[in-house]
Amino acid sequence: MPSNAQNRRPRFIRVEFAPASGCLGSIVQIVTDFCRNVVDDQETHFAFQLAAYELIENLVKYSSGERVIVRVEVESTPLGPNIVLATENEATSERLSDVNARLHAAESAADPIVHFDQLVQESLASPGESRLGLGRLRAEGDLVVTHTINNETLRIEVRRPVYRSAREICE
Amino acid sequence: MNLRTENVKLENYSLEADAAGSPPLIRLKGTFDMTATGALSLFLVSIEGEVRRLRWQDFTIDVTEVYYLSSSCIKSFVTLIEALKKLDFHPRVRIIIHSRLDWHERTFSILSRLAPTLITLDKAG
Repeated sequence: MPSNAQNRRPRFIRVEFAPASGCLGSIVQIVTDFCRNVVDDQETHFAFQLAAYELIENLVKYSSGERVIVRVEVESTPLGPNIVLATENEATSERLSDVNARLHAAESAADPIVHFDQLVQESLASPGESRLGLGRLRAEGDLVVTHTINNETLRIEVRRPVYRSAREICE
Repeated sequence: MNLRTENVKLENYSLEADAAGSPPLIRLKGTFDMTATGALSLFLVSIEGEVRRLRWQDFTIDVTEVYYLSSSCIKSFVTLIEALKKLDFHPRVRIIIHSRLDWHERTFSILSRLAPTLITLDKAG
């Protein structure tokens, strides 16, 4: 007979790695496989695929440290389960200041789609980079975005409630 | 009509331009993450050159087999559309998205909001 542990779906996966573009596809695959394991909903799969690509691309591009962390988990709350994707990385103070301002703007925008359209217009003045990724998380992924900065470490969390099979593993 | 645009076929994605039919057809397939940004940007700059050279009045971009488009790749489309908006003959672009992939509409409607008189989205599949 298999043990309970063998039958249970994963509650979280945490990956620590040295940021490099060669890792991108495989780390995104880990996140999307986790989501497919815990919820049967294409919109949720897309939202976390989008978030994984955008956040991990940022780790690869902007991290100043030698290691970064990606964690995806099912979080129990009184209102039901959420899927949460979190990334952690070190960055320069200049980069942290810039990303802090952009995340505050994205998190507090009254209408995330209007905010994203503004970012698209502003991106035309930045030929070398898009600066669109963080804005997509709410506008296209319908994700709740939060972040903290401690010393030189940036932690970004995106979450979204799930209503189907993830409930089973929280009970 | 021979195009000067070079098609691209790699493991994760492909970019094709075909002007044999009317209107000309651009087809993207695969996953366009950050590693595809350079190739897509060059491809779309080349397409913009062909639109100017051949004065295309309209053309189609088929993205029904696109599985992911990164923000950097969206920026490449934004750059193309801004360039098209500045042309004196106002080419129209029909983007064909997949009818069963809801995210296609969310992602590509960004482009139609940028140039509503030039860009239309149609669903297929």
